[in-house]
Amino acid sequence: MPLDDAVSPLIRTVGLDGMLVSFGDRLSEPANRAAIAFRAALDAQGWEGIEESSSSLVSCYVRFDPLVLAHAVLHARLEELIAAQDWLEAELPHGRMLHRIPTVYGGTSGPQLAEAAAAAGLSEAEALESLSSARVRVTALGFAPGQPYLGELPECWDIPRQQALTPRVPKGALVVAIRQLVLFGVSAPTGWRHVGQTGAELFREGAERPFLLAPGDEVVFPAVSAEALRGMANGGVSSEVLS
Amino acid sequence: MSLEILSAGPMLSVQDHGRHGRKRFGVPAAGAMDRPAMDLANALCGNPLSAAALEFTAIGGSFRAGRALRLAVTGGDCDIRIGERLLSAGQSHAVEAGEVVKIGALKGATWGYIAVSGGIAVPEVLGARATHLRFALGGLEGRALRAADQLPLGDADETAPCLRPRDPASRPGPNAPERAIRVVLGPQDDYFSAKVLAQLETARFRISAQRDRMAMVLDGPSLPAMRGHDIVSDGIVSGAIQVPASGQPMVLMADAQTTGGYPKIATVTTADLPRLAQLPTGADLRFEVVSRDEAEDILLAERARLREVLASLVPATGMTLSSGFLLSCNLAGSIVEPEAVMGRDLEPSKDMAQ
Repeated sequence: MPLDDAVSPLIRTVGLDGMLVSFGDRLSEPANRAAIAFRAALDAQGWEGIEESSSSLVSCYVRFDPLVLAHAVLHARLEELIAAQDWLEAELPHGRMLHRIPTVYGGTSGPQLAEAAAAAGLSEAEALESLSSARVRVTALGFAPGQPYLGELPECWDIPRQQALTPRVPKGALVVAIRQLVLFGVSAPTGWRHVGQTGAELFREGAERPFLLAPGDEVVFPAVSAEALRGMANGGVSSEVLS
Repeated sequence: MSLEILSAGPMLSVQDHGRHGRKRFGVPAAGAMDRPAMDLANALCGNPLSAAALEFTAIGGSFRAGRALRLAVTGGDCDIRIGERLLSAGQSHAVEAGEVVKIGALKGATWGYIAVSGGIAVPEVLGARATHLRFALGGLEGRALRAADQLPLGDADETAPCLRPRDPASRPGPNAPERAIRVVLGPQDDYFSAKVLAQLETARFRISAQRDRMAMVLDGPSLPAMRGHDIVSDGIVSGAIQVPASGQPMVLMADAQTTGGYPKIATVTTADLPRLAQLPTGADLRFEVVSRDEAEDILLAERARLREVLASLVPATGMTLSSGFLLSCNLAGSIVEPEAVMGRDLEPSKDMAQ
């Protein structure tokens, strides 16, 4: 029983002090753009009692103090803001960036490249070519500090997550599933397939911009050798403003 | 001036109120599993409630005071000794420079708190000192504390008195199964049939051994989602009851990741989450669904109760108890080794990965 797109966006209750505005029940580029833009618009309202807001793939979470901002009032204001424009047509954020993050694919740096390629119906060389040339967008930061979900890859990458978890991938691991990439900011277990390794620092305490990536940014993961990556400062990451 | 750790229990970490407001950057909050208990420990030491303290489970450890300080242990009953002196939990005690405090087994609770006057002054990371163990964030090098660690302490006025609550702790024992854990439905209650939603309230669940600071897995009836167990990842809060494909519910706790891809049938109310966290492994519980308005009233009442507890602290004078007295009260236990009580309780649960 999938949601009818006509009835979205939906406002859902998250405990006593949270609401979730969903722009779809599956990942799509417009729904992701809507979630990013809606969060920025909500932030810009400056409503008293809002404690934080956060966009994920297709939804925007808002936490508030119900003793300052009654939930009925917030619900009405959210409905009003939802109706104010067609969020699925919203623009991408201003000042977003393009990052190049050098990546070592396959071998011990990406032990599941061959397996992922087979699942995608590609040879290992084709998979490397496809992943290293894809330009993907940061759809959300989540799970761990500064850790991006990136999408969407070409359709052949609509491969399922593995049934069994990989007990641990290292920090900086590039993993793939369901037309998306995740770049791990911490060492963690995962059901996604580990295809490459980067030296990217997604989070740096005390830096002017503590988080490397922001939702709406674009990223490419060009292929380099393990030796070349070892010789690069800061994982060889380069960034430029896109718009 | 510091607090030196001579030995540490299995999961001793620096915690405070957590780093809130950075969910959009993927930063999990962390912070105390039982915030009211930590607040009481800080208040007993004359600290601001925002001060960092130590959280432990099962057993605390041994600590050498680098300066004169006041120390309080809260969360549950606990064996506390300085040399031959036996001290009680739930009030602060003066510790002389160089003295060693042994904090033993926690009884009837899962999470204990050790506050010292001046607070634990490790550097803040992203606005908080709380440790997120899985992501190695905050605290001391982002990890659990161990022997030989030196914790910096904040300044404190050591002429201030030791304190105790005027009345004994008012929280009922964690084994009070007649008191339901109250929840608000959602955000994805529409993924579950009316029958399953009813089951959430009527069934008994049991705290399984799969628990840590990130989540608690509950044994009990399976809660199948009629619309499936895979959703597009969305924002997660502590208290969320998420249901993966196994149908086995899992309550996300203080170290919850910021996003997750399983439907959340309901969310535990802020007031009842610490009580849930303190339930011992194997304890039975049931849930009661309340409206948001009711949850708001419950929170207001709970905040008022906690303010009352903190406002009613009085100087504790000459409260060092003799071991004979404690034995007569059946309160004196032995200080046991961590391995004896740790078990396999705190191994991470598999379903927490992406």
